Amino acid sequence: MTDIVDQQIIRRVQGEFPLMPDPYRMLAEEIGISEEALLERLRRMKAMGMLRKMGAVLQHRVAGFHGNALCCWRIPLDKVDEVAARMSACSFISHVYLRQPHEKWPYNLYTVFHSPTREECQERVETMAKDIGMTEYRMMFSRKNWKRSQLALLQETT
Amino acid sequence: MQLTQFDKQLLNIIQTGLPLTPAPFADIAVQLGCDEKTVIDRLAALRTQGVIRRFGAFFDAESLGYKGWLVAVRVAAESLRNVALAVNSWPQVTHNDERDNEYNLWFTLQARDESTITALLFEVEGMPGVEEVIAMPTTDRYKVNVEFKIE
Repeated sequence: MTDIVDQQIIRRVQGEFPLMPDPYRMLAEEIGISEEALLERLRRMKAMGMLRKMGAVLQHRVAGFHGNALCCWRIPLDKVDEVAARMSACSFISHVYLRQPHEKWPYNLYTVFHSPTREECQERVETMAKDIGMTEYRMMFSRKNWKRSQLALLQETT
Repeated sequence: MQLTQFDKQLLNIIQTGLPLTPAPFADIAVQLGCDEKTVIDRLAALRTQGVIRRFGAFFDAESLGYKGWLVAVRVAAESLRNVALAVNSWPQVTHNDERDNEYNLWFTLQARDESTITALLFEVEGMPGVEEVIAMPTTDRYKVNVEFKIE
């Protein structure tokens, strides 16, 4: 799927992006390929879904979102695709993951809901539960964030 | 933090994606009806102020062979800080939150091999105050899109 040049690109461009008129030219020079080759490879990775996006992620509290909850659902397997598609279509839900449940924690669908306030977030979760007709779920706000980071990909330690 | 109308428009565009073109900031400037320098200067300021958490390429770890887990830990209140800091020290851990639940510490990790999760769970299980640790591996992803439209 990836060759050594792709891997060099991934290692370099996952770092801080240069804010200058021709950022890709500078990145390409550092990697040792032409600007056009870099852009072509990035476009290919984007088309394949390997590059999710080139751009910004905001600090969500600064962006006005103070109610952010992890919500775990217990969804029968024959309903998972339908429910997941419905949740994925909601702009206020950023993550929709299926996970293997644990015997002590039977929830299989994991979502992150966002709202300006915690009260609104809770309402959105409750409305969703009614809409999909599911009653087994757990909603959890963060009491304290200890870490939020991006994984450094293709490093020796990982 | 007071965001101007211009900042909001700029942030909404830049969250959706920077063009993969030779002069991406000039392209955005055309959309906003301003000049390239204004775009670059505002983005630099918004990044320095912390409004932009990260600016750059976001790769899909799974398509590069990484697997993900969500881990929940039940730990005595007085030991939580120590456990949280130990978990933080693993570079493979991307998110770590104290939450209102019987499992009071929740973290995610991404690694290319099972031995990383095994070693991490072993360390956490052996720490003072830890009563229980459960791990839920990711089996499918329907959506990952951290984007907040600012009104």
